[in-house]
Amino acid sequence: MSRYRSSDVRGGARRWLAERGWHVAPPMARDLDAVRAEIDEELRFHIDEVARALQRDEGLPPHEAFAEALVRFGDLEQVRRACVRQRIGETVMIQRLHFLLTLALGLIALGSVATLVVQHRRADAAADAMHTLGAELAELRSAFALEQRVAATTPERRDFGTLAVGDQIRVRSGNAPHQFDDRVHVARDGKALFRHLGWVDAAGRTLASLELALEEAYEPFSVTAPAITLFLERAALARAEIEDPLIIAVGDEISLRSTGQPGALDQLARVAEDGTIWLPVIGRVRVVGMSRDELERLLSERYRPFYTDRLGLNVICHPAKDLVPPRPAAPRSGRR
Amino acid sequence: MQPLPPGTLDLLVLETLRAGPSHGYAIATRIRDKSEDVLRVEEGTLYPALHRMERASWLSSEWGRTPSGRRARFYSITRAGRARLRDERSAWLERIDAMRRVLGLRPA
Repeated sequence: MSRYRSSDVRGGARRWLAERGWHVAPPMARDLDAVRAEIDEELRFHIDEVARALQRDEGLPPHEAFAEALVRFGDLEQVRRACVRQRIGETVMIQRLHFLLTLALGLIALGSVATLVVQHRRADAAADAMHTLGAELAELRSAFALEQRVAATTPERRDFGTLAVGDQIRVRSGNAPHQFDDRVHVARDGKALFRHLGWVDAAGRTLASLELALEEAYEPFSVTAPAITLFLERAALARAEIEDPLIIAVGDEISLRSTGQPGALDQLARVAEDGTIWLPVIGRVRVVGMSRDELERLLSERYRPFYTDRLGLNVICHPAKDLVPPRPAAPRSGRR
Repeated sequence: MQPLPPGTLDLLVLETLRAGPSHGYAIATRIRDKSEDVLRVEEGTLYPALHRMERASWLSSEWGRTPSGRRARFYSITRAGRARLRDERSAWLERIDAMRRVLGLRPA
């Protein structure tokens, strides 16, 4: 059996703090009751003693002596109230004030911490958005360059009935607004990266067949049957050969897209002369000569210890040959 | 019997307790007896004053037993109470001397 009761410990701690001026809680009703009871006992003792003296000195019977003692005492209730006020009145006020001030300071501190946390999260979200934007810009730049390069090096495209490398597709979801909306590009290997699904074969398929495939693939992600509509936003001007698998080479740009924890690992890196890229957390990784699928598997394994199991990684490879070389700097104009 | 002169209750209570711890009834009785039934302490002012003086740390109190075995709150004078008593006595003696001078009485 426990030797100490928890209420004893709490009471002891409260007394210890109160003795040092730290009132962690307002005075309890039972404390006030105890003080009132003590004062009642003290006043009752006085009246009883006066009654005994009246019996002894004046020979009054007990009930008359007690009644006379009460009369001589005066307004008992008023005396009682005055004693209680002297004993605890001001202490209670100070304790309540102390408690309210402590509570207010605690709330202010809590509010400040919450504000800091919110600001920190907003800053993180903004940084993630910047990373995502950078990756999307690189992708757009690459797709545009690919289209130009394909147009310049291959025969003019005459067949627009099926998708080709370099096409830009807009995805609209009818029944689940915005959930599957996306803008994708058909990569060199003929595949396009769709939200939640990963890489899907696109080149050589008609928009209608791809729509059906996507509706079927998106069914597990939607409560109602998804209605997917695809638009060919930009068509490549020539039909290039599909390179499958696409092998990563020096100078290629590698975009990372994270799913499950959006924005967590969105990065853009260029393959260096030594065949490596540098990535946060895991550092330098050798990528040259690998296919995109191999690199996705490798990076997923490397990042797994640092993120939850829900993290998914997709790699978008922008071949160096498709990248637009940087424009030479324009001569500065102005007065000399 | 006469009521206490204004401003003398603290002085009388402290002086009474200088002899030793007492409960409220005994304090009132001793003041009456020592004044030979001239001064009477009103209960309505005595008990609030005792609690006030305890809050001011001039008195301390604890529950004890009377010779008849009855539980009672006993008050004792503290070190601060003794200092207060000295000040109150000096002030009161000055007042008495001033009254004597005004009334043309000889010093006792």
